[in-house]
Amino acid sequence: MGLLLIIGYVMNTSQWNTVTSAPPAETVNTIGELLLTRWLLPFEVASILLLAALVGAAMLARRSRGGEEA
Amino acid sequence: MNHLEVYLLVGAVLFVLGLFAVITRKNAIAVLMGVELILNAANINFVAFSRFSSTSLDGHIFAIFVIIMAAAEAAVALAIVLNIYNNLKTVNVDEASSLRG
Repeated sequence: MGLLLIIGYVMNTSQWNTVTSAPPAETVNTIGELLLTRWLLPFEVASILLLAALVGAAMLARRSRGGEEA
Repeated sequence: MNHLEVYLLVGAVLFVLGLFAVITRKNAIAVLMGVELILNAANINFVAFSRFSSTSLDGHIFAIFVIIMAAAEAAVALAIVLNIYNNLKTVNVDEASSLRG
């Protein structure tokens, strides 16, 4: 609760430099294009991360339930 | 209702609730749920700042990557919890404190 009060106090007393712009009409198209052009390398790294997490989780979960040899 | 502070307040409430869950819960699954709450609070802040203080969509892209990372983290953490339960017969994070190999 105290932390929430501190965050709220800082939030209310600080000056955010906001720009007032109209919200873009559609963002899905732009996000998809950005993901495959400018953020292509992080996108691929994220796919490798997901694959590694899948394989790692499967190995961790399988080894304990199977035999006790490993 | 279309101010930056409204979204920041929602993010702050989510973050404090997640931190509260991480600190006070004894069940490992509940601790993981608290971690997810914290990550979603960060996502709300990313998108809100990206919407209100720039014209690019970089915050949205970063929120997508945070979601991807949260998925990988949840998969690995649930596998670890499964292993802990198989080895120690408990998911209580206070009792699972032995480090014997």
